[in-house]
Amino acid sequence: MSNEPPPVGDNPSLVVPRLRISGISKHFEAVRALNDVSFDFAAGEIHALVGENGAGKSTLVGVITGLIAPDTGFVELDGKRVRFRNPLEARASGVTAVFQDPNLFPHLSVAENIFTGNYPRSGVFVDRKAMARAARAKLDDLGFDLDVERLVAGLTVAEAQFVEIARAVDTGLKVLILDEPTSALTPGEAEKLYAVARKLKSLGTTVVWISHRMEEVRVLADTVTVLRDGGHVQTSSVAKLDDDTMIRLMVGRSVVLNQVARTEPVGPPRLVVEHLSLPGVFDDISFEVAEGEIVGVAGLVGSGRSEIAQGIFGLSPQMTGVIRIGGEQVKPRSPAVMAEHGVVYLPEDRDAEGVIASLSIASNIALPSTGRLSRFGFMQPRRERELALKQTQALSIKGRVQDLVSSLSGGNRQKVALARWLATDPRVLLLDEPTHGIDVGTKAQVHDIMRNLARERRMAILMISSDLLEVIAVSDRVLVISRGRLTADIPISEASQERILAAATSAPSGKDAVA
Amino acid sequence: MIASGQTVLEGLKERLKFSGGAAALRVRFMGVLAFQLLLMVMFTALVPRFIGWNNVQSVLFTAAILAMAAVGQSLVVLTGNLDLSVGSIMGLSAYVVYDLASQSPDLKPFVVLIAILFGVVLGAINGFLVAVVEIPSIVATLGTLSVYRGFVSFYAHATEVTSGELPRWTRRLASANVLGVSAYVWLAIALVLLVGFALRALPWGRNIYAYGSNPRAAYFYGLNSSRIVVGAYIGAGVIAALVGLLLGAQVGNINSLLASGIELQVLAAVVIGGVSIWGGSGSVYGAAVGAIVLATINNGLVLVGVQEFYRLLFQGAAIVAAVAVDAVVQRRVLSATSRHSIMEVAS
Repeated sequence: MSNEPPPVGDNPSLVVPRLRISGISKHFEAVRALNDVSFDFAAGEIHALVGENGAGKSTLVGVITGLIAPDTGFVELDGKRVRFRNPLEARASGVTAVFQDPNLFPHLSVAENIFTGNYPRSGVFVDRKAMARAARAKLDDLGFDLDVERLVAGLTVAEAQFVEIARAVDTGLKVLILDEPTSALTPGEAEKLYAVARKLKSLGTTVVWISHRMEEVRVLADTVTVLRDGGHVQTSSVAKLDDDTMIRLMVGRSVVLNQVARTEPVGPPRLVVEHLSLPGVFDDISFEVAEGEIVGVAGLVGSGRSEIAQGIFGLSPQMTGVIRIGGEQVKPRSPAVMAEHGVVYLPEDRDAEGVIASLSIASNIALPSTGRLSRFGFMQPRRERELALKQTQALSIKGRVQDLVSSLSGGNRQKVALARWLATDPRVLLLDEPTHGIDVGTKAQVHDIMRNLARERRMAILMISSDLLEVIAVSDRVLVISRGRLTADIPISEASQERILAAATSAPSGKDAVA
Repeated sequence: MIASGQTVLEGLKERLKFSGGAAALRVRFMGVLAFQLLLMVMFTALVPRFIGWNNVQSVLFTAAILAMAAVGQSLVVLTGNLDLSVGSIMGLSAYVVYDLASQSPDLKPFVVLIAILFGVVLGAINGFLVAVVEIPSIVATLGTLSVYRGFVSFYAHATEVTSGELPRWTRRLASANVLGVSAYVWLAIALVLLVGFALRALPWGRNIYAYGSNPRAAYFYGLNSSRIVVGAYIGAGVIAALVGLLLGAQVGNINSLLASGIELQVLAAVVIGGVSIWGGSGSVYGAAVGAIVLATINNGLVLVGVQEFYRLLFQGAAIVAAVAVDAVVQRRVLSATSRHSIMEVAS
């Protein structure tokens, strides 16, 4: 198959782009993931795709590879409209994506992983020798040194990624999409990957490189496209953009969230953590949250933000460090222990971890309080109902208390998850992306609830959020995590999106905690 | 610098953990063999005649039927499913096929073909329920266990197929000895080698392993998931139907309860033999050794003269221990390649 892009009929100097994104929009319920996005990828270029968390990069990759059907718009490959129904069809046409998480068969060998579904055969049998030979040739070609007989279960993340890339690289490969390929790699391994990208480029393949690392984009990419809030901001040559401009393009946003100035001063420290470390995830994290204070935690997805909150909530028993709740040192052995000390955690993935969708609103709210609602070991339905009514009114949850949570919208589910913990009268709230995926109106309500909890009920709140505007609007102080390290502690009066994003994308001094 | 020294150390630990995954898979099979050796040494020490040729023959003969049934079950377990209906398929095939053959002697040369046909149909029904209707396999095959057994009862009308009605060659085969060992043992060895080879060399077999190892990746790799699962169930059905014939010929007088309850023994052999209940890992060789382990436990403890209670206790402990080891192995393996993420984008 020729890898040269076909020229346009009468004007040979005008070249058809390898991949054209045209007017793509996609909504998930109330959330606008992509909004009328149009731009081109040229043949034989390394094209960086940058943007904040939630800018729409992953959705766009999903649309290109057939994982997600767009609401409107279309994709053109070499001038022809394509609409892949699944990643396989995309692959058959030469468009392949390699995701951050390896998608391999751990119990099979490297060679088998490369050729599964497409085994070299002799007669009806799998030709294992030919398979090993071909796999070795492929890996050698890419400069990866891997024993093809090894089981994938024994590989490092980087090696597993090499296997995926080797699998993707085929004679007909036109577009290779790499989703943050170097986030789990050492500098040496990343170098190898850069070399592969350059080699593919020289062969005429378009390499789409999703990255958060400015320095990487700069040394590697020819072209960069910035996405923001699901919209296309700019596509231009990397040489024409300096780092500051790129960051400004990523954050400059028009939506305004209410910022309510605080009146009461914060109280004494309620949650104090010192030198929290979890090998390979985060390292030496120390901070405090005072009574009545909302501390925002910003950082890229995968930087270790959620893991820190989960560690404090007792979900990572291997974590080392000291946690003090109101001056008393507490060992975070389990969520039950932490809940006893008034610490509660609201997970990001509320459908999987935050609420039990097949139970009613009342049952969900009563769940951590069953002991208090029982007499002689039996639940008192009347008291359960009263508690649920009180909480649903306080948080203005839509729906009757006997309705199933599965019938609620995302925002109301989140409020149920919150109500459930508030019924236990906690002292410390750990909120992980509390407004992720909910509409703007409900978002503002959740913000008001948080302010109220901090200022009226004097709770200490740690809020993890990818939405920088939200962080700035709600927090009294902002912590920034980058690659498992605390890189900035910014008072709200000095916080700006630019400053937070610069800290979040900076390489922390010393070695990364996430190697 | 201390920090960088620490990260190097952590990187090293990480590597050891990962290679631990592959190593854990490798040692699992050796572990069963070692356990079998331990049992043999233990029983020989307690009762010397355990290792006598007569007794070894008896253990192998018991193990042969179980091992063959376990080979079929392994195919299904490798895909991450179960086949509880194996005993019912054996019973149905034995009773119906031998009854047809006794009623119309023209069919006698074709009993094996007819049994294969039954195996294909009954296995395909299981596979259809699990892969297409998407009923969890434990429920689907619990249902067909009853349905297939119910069909035999209905068909048999409380009568028996007596040993005199069986094709003569099946009776001869059941009592034949080759090189001092029962023909069934040779058949079992042949079946284990054949299926072991097919799993390794045919795309059918490689796909079973791939699907069992990571069903989501199998989808991304373009494998036809339902075809793989149905294929495994058909393989298991055919093997169960043929083993049913062998068991029937050995027993002689066949009633509608032949092989009922054997599914638990078969599953125990598979699990002890190191075929992971989570799919994707293990081998039919392991399953065969698992059958020998079970036969050894049963035989040895009878020789030692312990009560039935202790025999069951010992067998149960072996099963739980085997699965506990598998759980550790599985955790190690999965730590290398995590299983979540992309579908979240898709949903």
